[in-house]
Amino acid sequence: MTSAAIEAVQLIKNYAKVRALDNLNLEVREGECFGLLGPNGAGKTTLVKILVHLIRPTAGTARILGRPAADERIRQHVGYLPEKVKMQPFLTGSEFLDYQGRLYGMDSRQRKTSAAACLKHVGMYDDRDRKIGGYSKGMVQRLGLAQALLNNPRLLLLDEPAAGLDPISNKEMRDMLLQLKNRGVTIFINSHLLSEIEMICDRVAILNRGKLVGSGTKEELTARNTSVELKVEGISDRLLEKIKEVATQVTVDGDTITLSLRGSEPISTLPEIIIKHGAKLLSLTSSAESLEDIFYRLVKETKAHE
Amino acid sequence: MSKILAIARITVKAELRNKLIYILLAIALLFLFMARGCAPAKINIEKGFINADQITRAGMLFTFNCILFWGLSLCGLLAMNAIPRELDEETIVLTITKPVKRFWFLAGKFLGIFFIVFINLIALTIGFLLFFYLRSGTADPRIFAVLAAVTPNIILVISLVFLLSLVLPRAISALLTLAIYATSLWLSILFFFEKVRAYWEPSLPTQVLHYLLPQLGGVHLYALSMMSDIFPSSMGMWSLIDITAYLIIIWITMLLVFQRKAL
Repeated sequence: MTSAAIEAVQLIKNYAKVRALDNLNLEVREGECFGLLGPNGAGKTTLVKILVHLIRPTAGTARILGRPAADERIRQHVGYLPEKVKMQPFLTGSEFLDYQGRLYGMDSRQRKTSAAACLKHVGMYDDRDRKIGGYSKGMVQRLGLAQALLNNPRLLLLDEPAAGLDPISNKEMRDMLLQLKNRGVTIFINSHLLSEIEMICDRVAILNRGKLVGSGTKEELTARNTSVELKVEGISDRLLEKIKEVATQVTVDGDTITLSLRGSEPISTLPEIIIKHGAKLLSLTSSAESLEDIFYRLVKETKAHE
Repeated sequence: MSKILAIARITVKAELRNKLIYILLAIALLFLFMARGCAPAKINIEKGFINADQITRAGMLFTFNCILFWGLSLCGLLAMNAIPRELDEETIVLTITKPVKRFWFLAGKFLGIFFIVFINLIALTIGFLLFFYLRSGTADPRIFAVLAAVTPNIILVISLVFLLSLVLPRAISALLTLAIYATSLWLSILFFFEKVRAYWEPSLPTQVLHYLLPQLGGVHLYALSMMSDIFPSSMGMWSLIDITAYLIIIWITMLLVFQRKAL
């Protein structure tokens, strides 16, 4: 049985007028790559900030690698890349990593070798002696990733890692993360870029307005729902009502009915329902929902319930 | 300790880029130049009541107080920005998310600021002594003892500005601290000189204020008493105990406020 790298139990965070996290329960296993999806303001960054103890939760507990998130000793094994990477602009890239290495308690030799390896890893070695103030946004992001990798972390917390990266840098970042994943590093990615998460992560959670609205592997999430498109002649209100009884989301455009089904079993009942109501089924196409569909639907559903 | 020193090093590097330090240094050099005017070489003392030695000491004390005033201003200016700037520019995030206690961060910032202020004060004092010696042929090395004795005040000023800058606008935190220093010094002069008390009986609110405020003035006068007999030294120990107690309270409060601060 694998232990939990991240454990959030009934986590609540209230700001002045907003509840950013609402009884959040989440577990990330060691060695997996976990993606946290959510629209802006969902509470993703709040969760990560609690995990690195930048803010305190109002209630509930957060644990990292088996210890409370407030225990600074555990951060010896954690790498963190914030959403907005801010560094001292008067330092050079290598000076900054040297400073970060000192904060990890590394000796001079460790700092030198580790900084050089990380700079090479993120493709910043040639720019190591330039001042950070003169770096582009992408370079700052890469240096940010280098500092997160400096201590050879067991857990990597990345808050919007693709922010400010061009498509090439984005792909390089993705490849780097896949390498780390293969080395057994637990990766927690917080993003609103679905494609990123879809390509790298083993498991995904969707957060909306501080609540977890769905979680599981991509296969688990997509298997739960099937997207169906029906072409029907003679659509009536009674037919639509009957379809709504088995489907979660129904939209009609001319003679086309698009709907979502929980699982794939109810598909077989659709032709019967249509014929019973005197309509003619012209075609039926079904497909598993993409992560984007699931994300969109779950977020919409939460809004509708509120 | 190495982590505290790493934060102190970065603080020193950041502060040395502050142009304000160099403007203040130019003003301080002006003070140094004033030392020439305070030297007794051209003062005619033959018909006066004081001797050349007393004039030398008075000149030294005056200039040293100017240097100290400059040092305290530097304390306020550097300390008021040290933490708020890290918070505003969010550079604190990549420091505090390392295996670093929040107290270590505060201690590192404090050491950095203290180092700059103290080095500046020592350099200026050496320069001042040199000027004074070249002008008058005499210089009193006890001035370094005065500097050492006044160090608790410098520590308290930096600490108080740190604490206030966590809850108040930064300029107000510095001005308020310097106002507390000036008030304490003024009240101490009134309380410690018997000759003054002969003409002035402090009211109850004045007495309460005197005992409530940190005894910065007491320490200041005690430090000066090491060079001149006119300053009282009797309250030195009490003032030092008072300052130490205030320092403990300030640091505990600062830690409580900073621990709960969302970053």
